[in-house]
Amino acid sequence: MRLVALVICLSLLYSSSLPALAQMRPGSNAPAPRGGEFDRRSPAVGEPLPDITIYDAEGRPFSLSRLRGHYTVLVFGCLT
Amino acid sequence: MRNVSSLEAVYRDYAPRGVRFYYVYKALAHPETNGYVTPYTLQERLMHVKEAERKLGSQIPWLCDGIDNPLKHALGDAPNSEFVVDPDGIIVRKRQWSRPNELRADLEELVGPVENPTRPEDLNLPQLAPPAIAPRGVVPRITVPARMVPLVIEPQESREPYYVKLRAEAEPSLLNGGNGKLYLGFHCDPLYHVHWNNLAEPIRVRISGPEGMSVTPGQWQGPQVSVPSDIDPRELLVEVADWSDGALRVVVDYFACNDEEGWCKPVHQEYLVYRRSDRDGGSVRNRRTESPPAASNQPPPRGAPGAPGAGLAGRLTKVDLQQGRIEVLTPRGPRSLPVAQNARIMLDGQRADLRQLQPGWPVRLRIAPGTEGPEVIGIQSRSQPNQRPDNR
Repeated sequence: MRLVALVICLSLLYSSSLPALAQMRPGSNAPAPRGGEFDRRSPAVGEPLPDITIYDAEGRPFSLSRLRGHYTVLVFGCLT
Repeated sequence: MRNVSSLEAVYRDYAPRGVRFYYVYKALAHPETNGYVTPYTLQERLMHVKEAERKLGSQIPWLCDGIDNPLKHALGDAPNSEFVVDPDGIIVRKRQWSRPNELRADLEELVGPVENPTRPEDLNLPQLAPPAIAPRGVVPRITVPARMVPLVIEPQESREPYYVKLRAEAEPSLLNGGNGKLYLGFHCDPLYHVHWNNLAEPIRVRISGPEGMSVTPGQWQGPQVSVPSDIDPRELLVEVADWSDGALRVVVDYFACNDEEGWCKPVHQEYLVYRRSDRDGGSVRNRRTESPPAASNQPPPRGAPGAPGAGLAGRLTKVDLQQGRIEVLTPRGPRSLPVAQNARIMLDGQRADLRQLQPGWPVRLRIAPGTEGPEVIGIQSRSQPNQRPDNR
């Protein structure tokens, strides 16, 4: 639990960095959307992953709440 | 998809430590690359997922965003972003671009280091080619105006799958004012393994709009092609005037063949095209575009980011070849920008390649708006012998 709290605190510090730094640090919120960058609606580090239902590779509904209980890495991608 | 092997190496090390990894399939970033075209339905996007599993050979399981891209939108609309979520469902790391080396460092911190980390080069992941269905490069591609914007299209109910898919793009004057050129491209979907039947009548297209709107041509027929089959897109530019409200209707008739299943058949399909930018439409790379129109009488402010042909000077701080981006320290602060595939790069007065540029060298950039934001379309640099290449 202490580790989780520490991670959240560090993450909050990280996400509240100066705007100029924000442009340099890939993990932070960009001040404005640009090509390939997050737009303003992207949740900040320290915020919960939205509970949205998407699909598994077989087309079955997959709620993101199922990810709880483990560290999870999500990477967006496509064929192009 | 970039960094597949590097991410796979992180996965192989941390999945046994209880970390779950998922790729999330979302809208195509660059339609037409390797012939892949934007799916219209969830079922078609799931076909893309299967193709991605086959092509990339990764063991990381895939999830698939809804066809309206709810997760991509909720998480900030970046094309290759990366998130680490803790066991309580809290986002503890996020990146605009997936960077496996940084992810590994994150997991070392969050979960602990591994002994003998897997090296990407040890994995030998296959890089399979897209399906080869019929010849490509038979029908010349058309030249389109610069800075075209993808439009929202709505395929209408059809008895047949959309073996051939429409992509519609507008030049900014059409999108913003209702007058200008409209690109209509009809692309064979490689995941249906179809090709054009050039022994039959070429594709026929009828275009009509709401009253008061003018569309030229209103009817079009594709070229007669001498070889029996091919998979090149059939494309046209349409001059549109006075498009205010309402959708434009596009009716298409073509003959498609699938040699594996042994059929050729006529297909009739219809689309509605809206004068609305498709935020998930992606951008097409490596095609011929006209030079941007001449600047107006009032040139944009010098160095204004995003203005056509705007200039920016500074010192290169990073060249990211994998992501096709550069970082430049300018008098107004650091900038990170994508470099257009066909950017004109000059080094010491000679044509050069992005790989030849090194951090520390002075650069002058030309920047133009791309579909996903400003991008670098020209770089001039001078080599500095004492600067060592690093930070790549």
